[in-house]
Amino acid sequence: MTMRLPSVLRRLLSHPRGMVPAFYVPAIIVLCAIGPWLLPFGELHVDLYHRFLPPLGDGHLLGTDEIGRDVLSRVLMGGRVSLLVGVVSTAISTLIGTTVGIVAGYHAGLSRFLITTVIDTVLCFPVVFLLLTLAAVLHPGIGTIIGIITLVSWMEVARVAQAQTRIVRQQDYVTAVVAMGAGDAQVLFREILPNILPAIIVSATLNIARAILLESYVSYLGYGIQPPDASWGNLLNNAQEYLESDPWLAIIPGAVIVLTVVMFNLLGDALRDAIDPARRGS
Amino acid sequence: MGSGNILYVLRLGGLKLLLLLLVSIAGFVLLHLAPGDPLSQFTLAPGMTAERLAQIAHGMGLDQPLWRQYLHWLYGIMTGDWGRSFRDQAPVLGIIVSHLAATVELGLAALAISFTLGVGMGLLGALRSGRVLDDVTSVVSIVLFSLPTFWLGLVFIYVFSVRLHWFPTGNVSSPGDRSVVGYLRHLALPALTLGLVSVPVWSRYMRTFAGEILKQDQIRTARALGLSSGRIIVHRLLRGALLPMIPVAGIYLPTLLSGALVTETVFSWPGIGRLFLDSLQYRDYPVVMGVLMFSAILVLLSSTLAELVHHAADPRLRA
Repeated sequence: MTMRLPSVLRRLLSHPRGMVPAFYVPAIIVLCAIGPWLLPFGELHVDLYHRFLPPLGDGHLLGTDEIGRDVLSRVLMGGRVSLLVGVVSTAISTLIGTTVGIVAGYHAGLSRFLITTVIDTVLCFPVVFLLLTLAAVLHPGIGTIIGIITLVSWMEVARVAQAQTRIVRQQDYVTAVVAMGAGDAQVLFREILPNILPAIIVSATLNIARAILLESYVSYLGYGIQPPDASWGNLLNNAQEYLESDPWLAIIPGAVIVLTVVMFNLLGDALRDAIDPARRGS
Repeated sequence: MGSGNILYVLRLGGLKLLLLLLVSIAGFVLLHLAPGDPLSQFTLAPGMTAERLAQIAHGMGLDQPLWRQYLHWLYGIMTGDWGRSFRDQAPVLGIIVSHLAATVELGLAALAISFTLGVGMGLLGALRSGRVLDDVTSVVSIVLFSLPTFWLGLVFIYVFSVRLHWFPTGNVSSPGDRSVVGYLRHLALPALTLGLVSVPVWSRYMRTFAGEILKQDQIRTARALGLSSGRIIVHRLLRGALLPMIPVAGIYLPTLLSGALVTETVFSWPGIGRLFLDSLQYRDYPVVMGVLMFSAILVLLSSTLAELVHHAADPRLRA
């Protein structure tokens, strides 16, 4: 099932479940990247005369927060941080997970046992508990968040890579290539890697969704990105206090998180179906 | 029980014990990475001298090499001495146990909600495979899977408490109201929040397992013979698809615990999730580590139990 890009794209865009996220994901990235430059209010601009403005109030499309900062600016700046955390931690954990997974999948034996044991150990801790402990123990900051999310995320990719590698390794043509005297490196890079890549890409897409969600949990609980810097999670930090009078302060940033995470998840699912149409509906 | 089974149980038990040992090492290392050592609570006491401090350190075994400290700590974990809270010197295990009931009640209520909805959604998706309803249930499950628990909780509080006044905004009871109805009203929103976000754990597997069974010949034959689809569901589908769902219970517990942490925080529910977060805030690391170890042990136990039950219930797995 090698991937041919044009046909994959065509299949992806042929169904609304693929088309919608395929447009949303680039759109939200571009919006967060350039949006803050186009807005009249900086995300840290405090305006005590205009606190708690409702959405559409006085030139503020999404209103203002408890010290008069523009919510739209903060949502977009927060998006930069959240998306960055999601993409960078996914990139690192995909690299680690793929390497570890291939090693574990290619040769049975001690390395496979060690790797699966380590994975199982980490999975014994409920993820959020572990993330919060690490975040509280280490110095808070964007690098720390990326690091600890990577630490709990690479296993998922490693599992996929391991399972796929084992399948590909047992294929007849790979056995043939090995019988013809190909070295490990050649088999790994020319046969295994290209064939497990589709599954890795799908897994990475789903991983971005999870990373964004995890960042929002940690930052919401106060151990992630620290105020006044914005991230999608910490925008809801104080929102519960004002829930009665100003519910949009909680509802809007949360809705943006949900929408984005849903879209990345849908994109991952749609990519899986587009890459391997036979799997659809199973 | 044949010798194959005994071997299986022994191997499984050994592996889980090994995991538990690794988990305890990870926990001990984490505890030592934490800023502020156990002595910091004494350094500010009036009249404290360096000599006295060294005495206390010796009394707590802090002058020992790290591996001996670890063995001592491990021995404590195994014999029920989990250390004392920095905050009030109460024994850690006792604190955890006293917060357990609230989490168990919340967890059971959430389990009932998520299991019922999840199995139902999975069945619907499988029975209407490839049709609109299949798409709808799978999108709903993706949305539930993508919801930040804290946000869903806040939305529920806003809609059902602030606006509609149907349910209280949090806590286990209102002052002066000890009735069961009052308790259930407090339980409703947190249980619904936690239950809904964990629906996909069940629905996705149910969709897959039920889908596989529907492809089997016996179901095709039954359908071809004109048996109503209702009876097929009850007799074959549910029984066949629920069997492989047993190990899913092992996956469910970590999800539930993580979700409970956030849910309990939003709804001021006095369970171990909120205890954990409070302790983290006060840098009360013995309690933090205690909850981490406790939940890890719980997760290991439940996954072992699920595997054993699955092994016993499914004749194909028996060697």
